Amino acid sequence: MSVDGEKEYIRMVAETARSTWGDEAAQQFMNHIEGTAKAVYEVSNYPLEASTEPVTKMRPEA
Amino acid sequence: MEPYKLSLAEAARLMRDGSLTPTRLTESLLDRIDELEPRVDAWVTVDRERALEAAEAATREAADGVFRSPLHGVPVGVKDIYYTEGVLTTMGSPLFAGFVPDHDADVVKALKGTGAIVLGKTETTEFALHDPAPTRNPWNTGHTPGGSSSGSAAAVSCGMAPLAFGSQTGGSVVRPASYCGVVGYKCTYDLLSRGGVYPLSWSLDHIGYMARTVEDAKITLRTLRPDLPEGHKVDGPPRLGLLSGYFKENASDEVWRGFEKAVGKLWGEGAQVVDVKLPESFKTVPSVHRVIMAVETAAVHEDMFRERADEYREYLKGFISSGLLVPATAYLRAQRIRGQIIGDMVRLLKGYDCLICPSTVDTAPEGLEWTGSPAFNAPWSLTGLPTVTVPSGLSGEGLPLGLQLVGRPSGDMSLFEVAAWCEKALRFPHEPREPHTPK
Repeated sequence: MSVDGEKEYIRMVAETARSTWGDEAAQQFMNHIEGTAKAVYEVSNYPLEASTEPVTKMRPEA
Repeated sequence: MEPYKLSLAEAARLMRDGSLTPTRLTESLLDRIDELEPRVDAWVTVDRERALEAAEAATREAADGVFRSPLHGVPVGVKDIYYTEGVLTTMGSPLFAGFVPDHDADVVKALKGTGAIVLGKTETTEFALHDPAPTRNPWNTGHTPGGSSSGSAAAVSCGMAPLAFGSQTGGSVVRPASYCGVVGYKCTYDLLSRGGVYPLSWSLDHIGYMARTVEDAKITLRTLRPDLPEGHKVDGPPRLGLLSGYFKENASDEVWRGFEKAVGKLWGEGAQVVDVKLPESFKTVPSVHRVIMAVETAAVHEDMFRERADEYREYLKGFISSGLLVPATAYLRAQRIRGQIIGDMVRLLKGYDCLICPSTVDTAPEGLEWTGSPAFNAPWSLTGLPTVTVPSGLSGEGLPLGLQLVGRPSGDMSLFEVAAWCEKALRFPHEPREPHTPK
């Protein structure tokens, strides 16, 4: 995870918001858009190990 | 003593021995509501006629020696996102102005079956999220009671009801209960049915309620879930895992000092209090919670939002908009990380009767624009672990502080045993609060 990567991701989401709802509406919600985008970035970059995931337990041999 | 001052357990005992009737208790509470509602604004609807009818029926049954349960004749408040047959249910939103359900939520139906009396519907933030209700904190009417179960917490605090139901997705039961100086309980995920309670975020929504004592909260769960095994009895002082780290870093100085003072009292009564280190996965809790909640809230509201976005208040409108932009893979990844956090927390709990931390980041904020931070409660909504908040003291400004106890999955009855021990050690008065308005 990098500061630049996070900034770039938030910028991309903000751009998507503007093209989806228009500049005015997107600007009105920008705190939410950026806050959720920041959370998404952290979640997307958190390392997951298959061996420790509950979903793995669905395999009979696990 | 005026009946409104009685705890649920005290009122139930007096009704059993015939020295109090459900009708007298209900009348006393309705008088109390009439007296204080202009200053506290805890109710959307006071269902006076139906409550009195139900109270009279309960009184007749009691006279014949029929007591349906320990809640027989006990009046309760219900948050305005619970469906109630024939009673206005607004979800705190103009989108549901005038909506009257044709059936009861599962919990309401169960309460009526136990002989409890629904007094009315309590104020909520819009759809149980952020945009505030008009309710004021009885400890200082210039401060928020917290949210989203704002009316339920305030009503119990000032003696308008001995028991009131809420819901928690982030911190909507424990936070307002703590701000209002009452006991708050959030169940293990799905231990109490969410059927008929308007969703905010399906996998995070929990049923909870407020009462003035741990005994009252325990009686309520025992009545609604008689099938649960008895809790592990606390024969001696409990072993408590103290959570610092994230909690110490985010608590206000006053809250942390108050927490340390409360821990000192528990330790003084013999509790073993051990510092525990939070797992590495815990640091992702705020982001994981936010991603899941934003997506699920957006999904709940997607259709209505498309047609009537302008009728939503500002915070919810923005939150839904942000959730609609989250990639599906990020939502699923958040759920996968959540599984790891749950596993890590359950392992951490193994050495202790429960974990403890402050119930809130700060005392009730001044003003009604913001209901406060859920940061100390959201981890337990995310992990589905049961929590109880017990009033633990007062701030320098005279506002309540709370001790939050976190139990094992489905260990709710055992958690009440530990909470009762802590409540006794902390000795916080549980009489109804006379609303205070500073000059």
